[in-house]
Amino acid sequence: MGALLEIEGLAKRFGGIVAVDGCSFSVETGSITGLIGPNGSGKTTVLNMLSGYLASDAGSILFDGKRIGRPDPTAMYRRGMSRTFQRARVLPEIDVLDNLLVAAPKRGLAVWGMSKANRATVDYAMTLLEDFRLIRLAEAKAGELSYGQQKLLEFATVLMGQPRLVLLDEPTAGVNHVMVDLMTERIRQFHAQGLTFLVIEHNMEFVMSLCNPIVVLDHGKQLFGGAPDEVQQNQLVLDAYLGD
Amino acid sequence: MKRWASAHRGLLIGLVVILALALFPFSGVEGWIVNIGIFTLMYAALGSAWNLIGGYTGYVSLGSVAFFGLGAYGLALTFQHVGVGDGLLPFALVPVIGIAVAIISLPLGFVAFRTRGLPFIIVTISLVIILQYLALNLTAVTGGAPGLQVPQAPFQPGTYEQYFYWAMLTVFAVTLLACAYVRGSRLGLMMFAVREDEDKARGLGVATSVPKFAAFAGSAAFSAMAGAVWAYYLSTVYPQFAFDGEFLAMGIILVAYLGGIGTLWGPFIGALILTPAQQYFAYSLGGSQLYLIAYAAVFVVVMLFLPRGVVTTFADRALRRSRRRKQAVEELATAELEPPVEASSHAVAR
Repeated sequence: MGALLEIEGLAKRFGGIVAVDGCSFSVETGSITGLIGPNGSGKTTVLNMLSGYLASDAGSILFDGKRIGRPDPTAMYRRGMSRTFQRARVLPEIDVLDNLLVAAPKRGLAVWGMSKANRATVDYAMTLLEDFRLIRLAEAKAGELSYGQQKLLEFATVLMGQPRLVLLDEPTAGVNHVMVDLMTERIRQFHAQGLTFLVIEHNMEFVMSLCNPIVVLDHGKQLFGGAPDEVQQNQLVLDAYLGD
Repeated sequence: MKRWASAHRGLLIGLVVILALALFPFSGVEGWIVNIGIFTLMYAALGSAWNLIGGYTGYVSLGSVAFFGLGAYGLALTFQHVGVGDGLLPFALVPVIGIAVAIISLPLGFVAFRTRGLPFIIVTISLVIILQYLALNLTAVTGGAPGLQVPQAPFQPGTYEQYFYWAMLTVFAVTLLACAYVRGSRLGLMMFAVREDEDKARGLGVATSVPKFAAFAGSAAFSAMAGAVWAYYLSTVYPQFAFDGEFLAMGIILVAYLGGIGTLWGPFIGALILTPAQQYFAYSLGGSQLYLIAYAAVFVVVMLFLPRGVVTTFADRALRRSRRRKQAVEELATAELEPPVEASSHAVAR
């Protein structure tokens, strides 16, 4: 299978700081690709450019073989690429079920309908809530959920759009291990159903057991890319993380 | 399903309240009381219209008055240049003015939505100020400072107020119905998403300009309709009163805050408390400026005890009561997910 996402020479500079410096890598269709690197290596900046939240200074992005000129969050989501945020972002004052219904793709005249969503959409949302063990909280406000539950909810939400690629930004940060296990289970489940993932993560146990291949970023460019055991043995990677 | 049942109950409550309000002038009350009723309903309509943009999409606008004034001038100008008849006939013009002002609001919205947060407030209040200056200075069109006269309606003295009362009630009812529709629909969900986190909403495929412009134009239409009825009632339109960026602009937001921003009935409840109080103080303390202080005191007292507004506070309490019954189940659900274990260890040091 070919690459679902290809990044070529992506660059971003904030004033005098080069955050991303000609970064190139690709995400194979059907893979769970890990994106790791020391703090400040540009991982989240890359994600922000991919998802259209940040304009890149240079480089190209190919999604599903098509060149994305100027990514825009709404358009990227509708093309089938959705993301979560490093610090979970949910819509706090509306209830959990509505958080999912918002993310159901609907355009044109359907927006002006009398209901929030059709039966099938609500059913799908309920199935996701069941999967993420949030079903009992369907009517609670999203802001009342624990942080870990918000992370799960955010993940469930981006699945509403039937994406082909999901970008997860530190899915396990600040989440207890029971929820990490649940998160892992869900990633595997949706992966088995054909979904591709790009996962940024600091939790190495999680990355090494879940992701293949793993891309290592340092100073805004790719340092190394390969299978988990190769990454663990690579001197450059060890140096970047531990200092030489 | 539960949601359906609650929607139907809401509709029933709405019908009963509107019907009760419609019958109010028949209760034998005097004209001046009906007059207070007209202003209460005007604030309820304006507050509900403001809620669409300020409460639902979170774009706090001080521009409602601009559209209220455009509606008022719209009616006066139509009287002047086109024969609209008299009696009840001019009321038929009210929805037309609403639609016209909604269309005018779209390019204004395009400018205003370049901003959000505090700058949006500034842009919208500027709109009111600009329109007031235009009304004052475009004398050929607006008559300048003396304003425009609207022929007085030929209603009998005893029942004069009633017709305007029902007209204003209709504007309020239509606004309320629009709000109720929005709250249960996809459109409303998009508005709430914009209020909660606009950037996140974009990343969930929400075309955010649709709910923003719908709220802005809808709010403008209903405000203009209230303005048109108001102009016909007073049979005169002045720049300072039609584009009143102080008393009226603040009043609209106060009723919404007092009743509970973002709730369906909040602005009505707020108007029901504030407007009669304001009118009463204006009568009893009218000579001095003291009545404004008394008016503000009502607001301060309510906010002191119910800081999130009347409806929001009581709705939350009711919700908590019903939740307590389910709490045992919920705790079980949470416990299952969150045992008291520390966060997972990181294999590699950061």
